[in-house]
Amino acid sequence: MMLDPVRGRPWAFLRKDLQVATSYRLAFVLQLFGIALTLALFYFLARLIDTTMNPYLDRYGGDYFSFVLIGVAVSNYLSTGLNAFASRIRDEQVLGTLEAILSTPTRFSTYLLSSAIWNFLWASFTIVIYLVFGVLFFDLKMVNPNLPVALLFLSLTVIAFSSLGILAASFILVMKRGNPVNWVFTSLSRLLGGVYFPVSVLPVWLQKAAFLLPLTYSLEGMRMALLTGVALADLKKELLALVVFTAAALFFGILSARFAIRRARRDGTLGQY
Amino acid sequence: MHAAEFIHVSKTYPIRGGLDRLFRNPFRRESLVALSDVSFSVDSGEVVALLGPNGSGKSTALKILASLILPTAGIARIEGRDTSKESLATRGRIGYCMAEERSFYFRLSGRQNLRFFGKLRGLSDARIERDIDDLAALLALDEVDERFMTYSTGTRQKLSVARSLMGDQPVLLLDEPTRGLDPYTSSLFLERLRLIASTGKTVILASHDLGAVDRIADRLIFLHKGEMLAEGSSEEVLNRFDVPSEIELEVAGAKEGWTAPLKEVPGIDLVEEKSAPGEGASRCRIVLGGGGIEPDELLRLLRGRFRTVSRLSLRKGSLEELYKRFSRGEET
Repeated sequence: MMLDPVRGRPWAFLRKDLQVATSYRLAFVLQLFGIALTLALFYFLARLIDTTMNPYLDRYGGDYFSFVLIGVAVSNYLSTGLNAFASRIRDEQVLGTLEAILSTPTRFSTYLLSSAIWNFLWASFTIVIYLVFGVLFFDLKMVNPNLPVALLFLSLTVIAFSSLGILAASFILVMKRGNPVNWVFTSLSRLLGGVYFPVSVLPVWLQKAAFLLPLTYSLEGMRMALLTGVALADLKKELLALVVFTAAALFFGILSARFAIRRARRDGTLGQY
Repeated sequence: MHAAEFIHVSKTYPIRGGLDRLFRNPFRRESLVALSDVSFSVDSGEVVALLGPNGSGKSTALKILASLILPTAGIARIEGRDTSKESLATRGRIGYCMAEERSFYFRLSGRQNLRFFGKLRGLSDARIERDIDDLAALLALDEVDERFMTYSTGTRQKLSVARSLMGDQPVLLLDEPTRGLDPYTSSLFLERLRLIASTGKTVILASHDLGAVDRIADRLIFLHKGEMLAEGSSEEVLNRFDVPSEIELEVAGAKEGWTAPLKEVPGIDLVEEKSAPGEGASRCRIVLGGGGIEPDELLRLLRGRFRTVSRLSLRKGSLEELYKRFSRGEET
């Protein structure tokens, strides 16, 4: 009988991760409070900023709270994509479960992708909460949001960041600690990617660096689609850049994961940390 | 086709140091030989034990069979499949019990852990529940619904053994399966292993529990520093290496030089006095070599010669003795 190496496994990972997450009851509740506190923080910060004095925000509807909320929500995906895979491998190595998992008929790719489902579901839940609370209680302004375009950008964003995350996980599998991919993309994206302020605020030479980051295009596409409702035709440049980046990240992510698992099996360090 | 096979397998681990080693010797490449040209095969229904001191390569051999490690040279096969090239298919045919005490999710119960790993094995929900209940009963795993973090060392080991027995894998690779188990559970488990093997399944286990190994293994493979020193049934191995029998003798009121006549008996290799005369009882250890007096005949002789024997015990050539000799590097 040929075993199906995927069937039932993603669900098994999701159920296990949900059981583990909810077993830390206080942390679970605090995370929910954290979302509310972040919303409040940026709401009051936004009240300090006089939109008439900020021509940089005109392009996004002029409201700083709406601008920054989309930035924070989408950058959650960046963090999740970059951290989930690598931290999961590291956790499994420390727990000693990685070898136990990989001694079952489960593909490494199935393990890796399944292990991050919970993190992405949680990130998506967080975004929904941000948006719903933002609209209901904090005066989030979305003018005719173009949801299909926003979803297209969101999907590409998830794939791109996941691919970078897999690249980061490959480093962890081989090097155990020290993750240059994570370090570069997290630090630079937060500064240059336009999470808290528009990229146009930056000096021209830094703007050029910002256009090398996928987050810049993700945020631009998401904000324009959700806050001003622009059509896909007006976001061709951003879409193309994101597609190219996603394809490249996916290619290198898969390649690096294959190399890393082979190297760990060769060196006998699969379960070491 | 053999159930498991090692064909000239060698394994060398690269040793990577910290920054200090890198600065001191930037171009030096160090390595550790874990296995060196090891070949053996195991047939269906056999129970084979890998024996050897720490660092002899037992766990590495099992991990190569489990396809968790790639051999540096040679081929390892499970049911004809190359474990390096057909990793997924190999893993579908094995149950692997790790030597690690951890390897479970601490916040989950034993049952939740087994459900998770059962799913990764591709088992149905009904089969998983049935296996959990059966194995919990077999291994006296009463705490199966408690969280793993509350388990004692022995209970953790039981869960690890239970995980490896879930499903219907034809080849079981067990690394120190009885470590931490109480004697009763260990005995039950070993009986079950023999029963499992009698249904045609193959068991390869690494163990330091020589008593257990002697009871259930059809064949032993002794490893030392990555090399295979001996292979065969315990009787064959003990005969081949001429492991001597020993007699412990305790005599009351012995005079000085009481052991001297014993040294003249043909077949006695060593007579070692273990206490000085005047202590009340005198003791000595007698080691028998081959080709002379038989152990039982010597016992009769000793009872006849010493009227005040207070203790007389015979320890026939044992795996323990051979194990010690291998560990000391006396046999290569």
